Amino acid sequence: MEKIKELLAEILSENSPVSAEEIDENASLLDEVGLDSLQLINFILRVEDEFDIEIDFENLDQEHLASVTAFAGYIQSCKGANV
Amino acid sequence: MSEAVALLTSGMGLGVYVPSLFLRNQCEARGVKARIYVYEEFLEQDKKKNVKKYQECFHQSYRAAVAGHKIPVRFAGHLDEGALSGLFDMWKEHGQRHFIMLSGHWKSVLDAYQRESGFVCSVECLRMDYGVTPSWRGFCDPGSLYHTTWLFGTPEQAMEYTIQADSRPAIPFEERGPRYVVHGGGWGMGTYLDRMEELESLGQLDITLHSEKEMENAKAKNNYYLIDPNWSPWMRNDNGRHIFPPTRWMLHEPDYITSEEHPYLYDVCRKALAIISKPGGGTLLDAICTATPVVFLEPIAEHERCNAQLFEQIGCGISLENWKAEGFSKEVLHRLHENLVNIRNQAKDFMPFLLKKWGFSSSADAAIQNNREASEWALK
Repeated sequence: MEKIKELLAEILSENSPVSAEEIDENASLLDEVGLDSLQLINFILRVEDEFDIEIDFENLDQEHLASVTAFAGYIQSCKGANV
Repeated sequence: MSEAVALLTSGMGLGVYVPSLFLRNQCEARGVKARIYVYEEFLEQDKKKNVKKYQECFHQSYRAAVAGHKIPVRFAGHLDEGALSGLFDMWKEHGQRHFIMLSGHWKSVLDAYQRESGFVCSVECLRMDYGVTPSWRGFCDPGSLYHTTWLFGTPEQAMEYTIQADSRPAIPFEERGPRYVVHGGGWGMGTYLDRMEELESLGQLDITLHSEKEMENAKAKNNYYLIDPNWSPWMRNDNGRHIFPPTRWMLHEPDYITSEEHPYLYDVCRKALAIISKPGGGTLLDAICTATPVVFLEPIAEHERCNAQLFEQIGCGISLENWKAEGFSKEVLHRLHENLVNIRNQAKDFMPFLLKKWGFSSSADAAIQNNREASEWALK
């Protein structure tokens, strides 16, 4: 979970500095964390690299982006990654 | 009929943008007014800026392009309410009822327009790929208001139509020089720049670039064409018309050139032995119009994989790996060219068919007849 928040902070900090501690685990990735589509793509690519997994986009749904916790659960289900 | 045909397209890929200009030209040649609307013109300002960023990102990274095509479209940006309201007012004033939709993003706009205006519209969905592209994912038409034509056919139905963008005959294969067009679709996506070393031995390459920096590795034997990095499909020229991508032949031309007839690269494709590219729908159409075979690089999305599969099945394209296994044979390309000539000659032209179906045919036929009589008069 901490690693995911770090990656989110890294992506968001391209616009203005954000720390991992500031990111609420219950916040939705798009509406509250504030990722736009391009940042979402970059975030997902960083997650794939970091956890050495391949995200299954076909089954990626709005509910998986409803919170940081939900997203962590989804990528764990992709390949049993330890997040 | 004085109503214009509305061509609803998108600038996210030139594979739907360029054909919409071909269709506009075909309408106008038949005395039918046509207007192009690019979806991104109506995006909120900040989302519009993002489109340019996507294109740069997808051009630079194959992985990002692949990921970008898989992100569900419901995450896409929002439309500018004010711009949309102005559009609806204009359409209502002109009694706009005939639409050709080349991008599925327009579905929600057309649904709203039909609800607001109370008009019963004729909407033709023209699918420019063999597979389902991101904008058409989730397309649903329970009321059967939308008619669909798959330009390249379906697994159940062979290709029936094409867009005859060019009245000139195809250049015979034997009259073409040993040159190959290499590109990554309208936005330069895919692996084409990474495969350049392997392709250099083929002969003269005509390569599309997307920034001047990419000239750093230029070779004297090749031609390089730069698409104006400051141009976007949602821009109009001084006459309010959408234009083909302004393109510059590097080291030979100082200015970007655009024409009303065809994209700059189209005429380069006409003279080439093959187009080496990812299998986008626009590339398939270029191949049919110019009878130039496609050598496929890696697809960036499932619909492109379907495109390549179809073109290989009907003998109009070959993967780079398979062509390599054939020793980069020109005979193989020649056979593919002959198949393309046959398809080009046999497929019906979509736009005249649709205009007739919609009842635009009498004015269209009259315009063609007038043009013919004027030509005959001039010859006398």
